[in-house]
Amino acid sequence: MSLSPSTSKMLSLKSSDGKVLEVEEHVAVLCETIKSLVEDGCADSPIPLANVDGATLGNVMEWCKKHADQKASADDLEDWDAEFVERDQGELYHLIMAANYLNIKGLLDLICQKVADMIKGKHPEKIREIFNIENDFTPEQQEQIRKDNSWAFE
Amino acid sequence: MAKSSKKSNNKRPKSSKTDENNGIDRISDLPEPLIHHILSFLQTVDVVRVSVLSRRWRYLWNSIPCLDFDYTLFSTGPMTYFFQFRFGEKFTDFVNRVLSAREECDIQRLHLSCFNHCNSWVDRWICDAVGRNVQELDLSFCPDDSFELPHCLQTTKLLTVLKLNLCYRVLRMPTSMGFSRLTSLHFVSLKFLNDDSAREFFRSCPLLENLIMERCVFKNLKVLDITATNLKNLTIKNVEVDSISDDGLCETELKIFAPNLVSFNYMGPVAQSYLLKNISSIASVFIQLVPGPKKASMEELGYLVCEFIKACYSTKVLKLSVTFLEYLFPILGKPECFSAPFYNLKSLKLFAGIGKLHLQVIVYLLEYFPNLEALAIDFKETSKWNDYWQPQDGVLTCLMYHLKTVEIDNVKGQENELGLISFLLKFGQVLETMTITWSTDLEKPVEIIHKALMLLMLPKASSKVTITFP
Repeated sequence: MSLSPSTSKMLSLKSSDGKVLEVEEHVAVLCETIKSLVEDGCADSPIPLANVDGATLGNVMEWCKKHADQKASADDLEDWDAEFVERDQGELYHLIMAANYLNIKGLLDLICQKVADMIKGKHPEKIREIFNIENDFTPEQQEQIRKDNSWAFE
Repeated sequence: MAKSSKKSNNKRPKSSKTDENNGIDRISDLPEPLIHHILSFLQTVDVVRVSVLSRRWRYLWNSIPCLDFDYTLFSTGPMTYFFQFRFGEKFTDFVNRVLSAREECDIQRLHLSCFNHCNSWVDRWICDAVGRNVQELDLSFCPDDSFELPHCLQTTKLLTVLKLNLCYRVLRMPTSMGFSRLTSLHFVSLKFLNDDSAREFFRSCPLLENLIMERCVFKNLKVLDITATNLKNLTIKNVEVDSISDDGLCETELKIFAPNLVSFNYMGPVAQSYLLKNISSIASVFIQLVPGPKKASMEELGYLVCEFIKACYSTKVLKLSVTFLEYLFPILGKPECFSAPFYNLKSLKLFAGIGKLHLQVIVYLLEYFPNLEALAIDFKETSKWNDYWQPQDGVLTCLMYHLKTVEIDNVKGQENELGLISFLLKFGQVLETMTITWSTDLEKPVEIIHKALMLLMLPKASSKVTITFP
């Protein structure tokens, strides 16, 4: 499917909180979910996206717009992406859910890589602190797990 | 968050970031497949360690679809030989425990990187992964002498990606191997056994689309015969300094039959000969030649590279290195050189020096690329030939009708460069943009402004052309 910018028409996307966003079709079709709707001819006026709020939809489309730009070089995109993922965890969470729902592999991988980098090589206690994960094990359970998996912790 | 505020977001102190999370545990709220996806970007050792975080995380590692065991990242800090040995045992134990703890879950991808610390286990681990329907195998280790692909791989119908790095050891294949679903094959630092086994390997992959051979040793081969009807992307790369594979294909004929080949990257010394048949669907070619140990005359090298590029006559995009231009020079204008124009070529990128030789080759090439629309030249390369070049006025079809954009990088403002730029401006009748990037060697702003003004005042054939200096 080749949709060049010059022939691209506008699509309206409606977020879960009722905000409507006008997006060029060649940008929006980076979302596989929207692409199939367009291909099946079901993309008439506002496409309801029940699982994505307006702010997140704006962020997702900002990413799509940059990645639909054929003039952007690979280095360019890499720098841009590195800045794009500098967000708080709430936003990262919503972006992962939205990228998954809209089926945008590139964006999903980007955000998941970012979260993985926050875990990488860190002590469990530090990971709990970063992500506010509550330790709901009893001290006995905790000890048991450490014992069972001692081969991974030494 | 709006884009404009992102920069400031970067600079915000960490504490306020935590405040923004409001103490909410977001990550544990994600559905399991998405947590798995996040974990797939981590070493398996990190994945096992998150099991102590909370109940939510307790058993996630048992079912992750991607396993990544890397010896270098498993150990920390430099080690003596004794500790390496002990660590090898620990690593082996770790891999065995993770594999045996998995129940019925499939493995999608297995990456294993372990030098020579677990040679006796590699076959078993591969077959274990095959038994769990593995689709992607990425193996990097140092067998004692050679490595024979285990027989269990013969039965798998699911493998789509295979990457193999053997520390320059020989790869042996059992007879009647068949990778019926393999689409990507990436060989790194391995030595081929003989002509037959290499040829049969590629033939045993009927769906192969991507083939990369990096730092491979072809010394045992008279002919590297790649017959692959579905192959789309091919890369052969031997440009590492001080590596065992330096010779590349110097003593080997490169024979390719790939009617669906789209992109071809060749980086390394000139092969002994080229027999490229039926690659007429090619659209993108990158040739980066490096001087090889072979003692051929410059003229012989010229004919070889000429044969090479003539076989790629149908390409749309072409990228050539400075050595290529220098090899081509001795045979310029000879009847055996180019016989027909490259009608499909739209985009040309050259890495060049600013010697007379380079500029002559560039103008000669332009003659044979009548439909060229975009030209990019990077003058980064230094060269030993720096004689003065005077362009000859002449009509080039691409300059009259098609060439719209020119990008010239690393311009130092020397006479030969300015000569080429003024030549392109003088005859480029449909030129739209000329982008000139100055070399970082030019430091004085006054010098740059002076040169830029000079360029702006040159006569231009196209009324539409704009010259920019980013």
